Amino acid sequence: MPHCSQCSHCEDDPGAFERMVPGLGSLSSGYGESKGETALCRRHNMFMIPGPGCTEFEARLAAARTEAAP
Amino acid sequence: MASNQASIESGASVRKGGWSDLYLKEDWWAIWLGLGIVILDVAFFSNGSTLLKSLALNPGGLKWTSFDQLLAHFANNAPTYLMQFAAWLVIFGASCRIMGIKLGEFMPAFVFLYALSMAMFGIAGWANASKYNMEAPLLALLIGLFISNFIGLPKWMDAGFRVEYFVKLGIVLLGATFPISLVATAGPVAIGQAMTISLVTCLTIFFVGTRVFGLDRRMCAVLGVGGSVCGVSGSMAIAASVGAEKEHLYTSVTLVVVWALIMILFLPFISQALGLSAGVAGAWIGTSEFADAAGFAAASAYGKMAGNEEAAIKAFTLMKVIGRDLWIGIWSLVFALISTMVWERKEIGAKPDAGEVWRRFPKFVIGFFVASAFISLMTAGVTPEDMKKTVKPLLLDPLNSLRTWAFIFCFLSIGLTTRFRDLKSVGWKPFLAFTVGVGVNVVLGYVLSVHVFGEYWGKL
Repeated sequence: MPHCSQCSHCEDDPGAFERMVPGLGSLSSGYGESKGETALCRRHNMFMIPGPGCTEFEARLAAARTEAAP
Repeated sequence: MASNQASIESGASVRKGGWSDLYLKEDWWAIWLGLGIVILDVAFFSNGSTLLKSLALNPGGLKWTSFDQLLAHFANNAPTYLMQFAAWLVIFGASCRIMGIKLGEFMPAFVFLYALSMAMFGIAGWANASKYNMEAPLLALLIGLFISNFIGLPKWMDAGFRVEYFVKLGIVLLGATFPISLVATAGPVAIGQAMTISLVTCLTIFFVGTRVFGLDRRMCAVLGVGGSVCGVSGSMAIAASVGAEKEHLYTSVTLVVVWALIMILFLPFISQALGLSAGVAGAWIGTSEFADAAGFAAASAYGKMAGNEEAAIKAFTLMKVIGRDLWIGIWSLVFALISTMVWERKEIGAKPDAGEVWRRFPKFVIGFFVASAFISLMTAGVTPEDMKKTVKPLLLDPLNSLRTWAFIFCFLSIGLTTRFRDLKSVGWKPFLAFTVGVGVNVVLGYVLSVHVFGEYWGKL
């Protein structure tokens, strides 16, 4: 089962998060517990908690596997 | 395509968190460092050593009247300050490196931060500083803002300006001087007051935003929790819960930062004009400020102005940290359930589950409680005379001084990382919805802190 955190569109790195949201590091942190597993899906422009991948990701993964097959 | 496949099938861990949080999250590092310092302090105290007391030196209480006095202080204590600097650099540097922050960026930034902190303490230690309201927290904030907005520092230096890490460490150290009996007796009052205000403010922002201005309900949820519970951290948590867009979080962060700074600068002076006692003002600031770091700056500044910093900080801590911060996970879960079951949001990512309450729980608060219980137990049965002669100067004062260092690092870092030109612009509708909430928050907080529970907070 594909998972969002394996997807190239999923951004959850704490440092990248701080750089992405201006002001986040001024009164909060990407390295704190309150961030939890919060991630940004760049494909859907939506914050989320990574979980089972969406249908688009599944299709992309299947296509990539087919292309890589001998 | 091959690289894409590598990216999507990289074998990255499916579920993050768990045990690795113990060394990857700054909440846990604040606990390890804070409790480590407390245990070391008790060990030195028990052995009659004054090493930690010497190392916890700061020039803030010097009350110098001539510049020569200040220079002489630094000249006489240069080796001690050098050791203290090295100790901070090692513990912060090592922990940040383990969390994934580049040491090459952290170290030069921290050197700058330490030097600037020393200058802030030096200025605040001037005998006439309080006459001109040059309290260290406000001074640090203003000078930090001036440097970041008018002189400019490279952005990579933000790696060393760890606002939240410093304030969390300060809160754990604060726990050591916070009697556990006070937490037990005052906690329920603080929770009751904070919950009332949080609910009213959040619902106000949400309904004004959705019903009056027709804004996206996800944005209003992010704004509502940001303005009522836990500022930027609350906004970030709710953004994930409701599937908010990037612009929603940008808007909330901008509004929280701007309003938090306005309130840091004005609440202490309004409290002074109203003649509020330090405890009452601390409770009011605790219900009005959105962020821990910003609130500590305001409460600490007013406490110094009113001549009772401890009361202001204690009331603020009870109200904000215990009354409001603890509920971030519950708010997150509630909004996740509403967005999934009522709003029928697009299904992406994990479904909400009760574990979210624990995952979002601000763990550093555990360190605060443990430090409070530990020192309360250690000092139980100490006579008032021994407390004054021995325990306070040799056991508690070093912890207070180190806490002051952590807070000054934090207050400077707020200013140094806030670049107004980088903040995203927001529309007037979100601005008004949020501002109405701020107004309700401040007024209701004042009524409850001053008129309903004023007698209670005034006794702190």
